[in-house]
Amino acid sequence: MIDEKELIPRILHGDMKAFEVLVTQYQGLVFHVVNRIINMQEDKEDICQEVFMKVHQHLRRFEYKSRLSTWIARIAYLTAINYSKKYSAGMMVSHPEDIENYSFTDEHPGRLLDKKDVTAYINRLIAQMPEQYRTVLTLYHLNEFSYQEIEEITGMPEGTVKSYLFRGRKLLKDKLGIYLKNEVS
Amino acid sequence: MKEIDEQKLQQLLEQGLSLPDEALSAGEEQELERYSVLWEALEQPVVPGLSPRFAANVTARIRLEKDRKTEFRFNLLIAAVCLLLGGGAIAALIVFSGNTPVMQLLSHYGPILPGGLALILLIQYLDQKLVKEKVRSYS
Repeated sequence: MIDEKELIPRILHGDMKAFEVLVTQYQGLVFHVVNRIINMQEDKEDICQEVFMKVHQHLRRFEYKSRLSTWIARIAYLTAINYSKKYSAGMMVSHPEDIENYSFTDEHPGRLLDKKDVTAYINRLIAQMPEQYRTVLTLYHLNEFSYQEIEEITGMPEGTVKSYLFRGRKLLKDKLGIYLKNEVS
Repeated sequence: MKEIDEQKLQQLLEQGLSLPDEALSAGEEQELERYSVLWEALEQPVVPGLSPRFAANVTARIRLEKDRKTEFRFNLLIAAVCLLLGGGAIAALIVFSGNTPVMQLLSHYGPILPGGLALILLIQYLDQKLVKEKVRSYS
């Protein structure tokens, strides 16, 4: 784990090696956030680079009021959302309230032979969910942010975050249950 | 299964707690099992991720961007100095010379000077813009 309070001043003094350490530390976090919001595979790395350019440009504004990871995740989230709005306006699902009746286009997982297959199947299902669900599931489970931190990153109220998480997990569990049952029978 | 039960199961998993088997009905146990499989899948990182040279690429791009900005500022400074010197020279000529051939030439072609300078600045700006786009497309 890096010491942010030691690393940030070095970056602000122009130490690019220190910034490279920061990028290495947080590139996974940024990729997970961007990956869930952006569908175009070829754009993901570019957007991640854009995120770190912004981090470098605005690092002076970081006031240690939150964890650095929360601050970087917010930049990643806003950058990806802006990109998504700009380039795939028609693909954004803006009314995800009726999630219980959500229909996936790819519901057939084939045979779920092992954990790797289950993960791949779940990831395929998540990719088809509305953006808000994808984001909260990723921030909570993959990036291990708390409800309050997710609120800070996305601007969604904590109650909404909890609701999206609960409904998203329930939907995925139900879909998984159907196919796990089929595997057993 | 009622929604409150689902909520309870999700809370249990969030807190990493487990209930004794006898506290759960067969249905609840099955649901808990499904949630556990889901939990594990949700925590698996997505592969493939970013390229192995990602961090180096980012820092190289930042360095390039910095160099570009420095160069642009330097060019702007040169243009400003030229403008000042040129303006000073013209002012000196107007003040100190009479109706000399130089003055006649200046009064005839004088307006070209600021126009030419503006053109140079425009070329500089477009050049920087093109470089920036090229950097973005390479990275």
